[in-house]
Amino acid sequence: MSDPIDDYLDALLLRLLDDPSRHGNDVAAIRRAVAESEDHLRETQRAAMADGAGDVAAAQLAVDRFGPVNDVAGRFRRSGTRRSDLTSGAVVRTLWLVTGIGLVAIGISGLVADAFGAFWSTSFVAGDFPGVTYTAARCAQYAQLAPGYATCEQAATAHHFGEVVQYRVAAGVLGLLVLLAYRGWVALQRRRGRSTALVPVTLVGAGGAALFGVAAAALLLNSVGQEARGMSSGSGAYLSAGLVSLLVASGFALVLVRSATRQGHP
Amino acid sequence: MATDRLRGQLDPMLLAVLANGPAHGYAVITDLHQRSGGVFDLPEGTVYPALHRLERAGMLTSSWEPGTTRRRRVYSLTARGRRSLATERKQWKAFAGGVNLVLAGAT
Repeated sequence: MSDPIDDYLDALLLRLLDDPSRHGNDVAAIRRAVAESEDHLRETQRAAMADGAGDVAAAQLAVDRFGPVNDVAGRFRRSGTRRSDLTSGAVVRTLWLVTGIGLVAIGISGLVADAFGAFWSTSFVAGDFPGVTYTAARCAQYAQLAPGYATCEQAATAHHFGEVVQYRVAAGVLGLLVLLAYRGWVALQRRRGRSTALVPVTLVGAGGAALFGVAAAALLLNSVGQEARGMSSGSGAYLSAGLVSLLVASGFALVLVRSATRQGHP
Repeated sequence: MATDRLRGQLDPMLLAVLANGPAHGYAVITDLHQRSGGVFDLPEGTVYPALHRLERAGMLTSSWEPGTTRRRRVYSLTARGRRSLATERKQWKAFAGGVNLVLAGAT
């Protein structure tokens, strides 16, 4: 038969370790929390056995008196939210990470826009509003930038479509470099034994969900609004960005819900 | 109900228990339970995070107890913790006095 105290400590350790905002020095705090919990549980077990309880029954009593593991783990995590977690260093690290994620999201929206252009049309992504005209000089420029098109409008759309896709993908590549640099910096800091803690994960989840959620709402409303006004030209640019923003916002919301659930605030 | 009310006052209670001298978590919890006449019976595991929080706030200091085979963390009140406890006691007396006056007048 398994030992209730061992099972409890295993569950406590797993819950304390399962927190992406904790790195480096926080491992020592987790080890200390588990060590103190074990000492207390064994002491309670010994006292119960001295009162006549059996080995396993005494261990179970100790676990019951200690409290639900989710609640205790959540309190340990919150007690570990040091002031230093909210200093400028933690904020900068978090912004660094979120900026990288945001740039990668822009890059993915470029690929989505490219797919829209391939499956529907380039004008859905980068077409001009009805009534837009270009000067002869500008048309000549577009003919050079996007040769092989029959009309000035087609050349302009092809050029603008290329800009939408290429600029966004370039931002995505920059985002990957930002994230790679972050990963390398974290590895270096860990080797030096320095903290790499972010702001509390709940705050990251809430902030990310709000930021990308607002962006998604604005972009999707813009796209739907254009379609409703019968101006589908160019609405795909907003739609692609809005869909990816919604996806990223959902990811942050999931982080928020998981964090709140672990801390006993479903 | 008493335990629910205790949650908001847990920090000064812990400081008060440790004002008697350094103690490890198990002793703090046992003392808190005994001194309250068994009225405060909160989940024992919730006390340790509170001790950690107070330590981070500079109210307590702690170290592993030397010379024992088991690893046992002993907590001590700091000067800051003593000042905080004195303030909390003063505020609690004023608060409790006000509540008593109101409740005593109620029919």
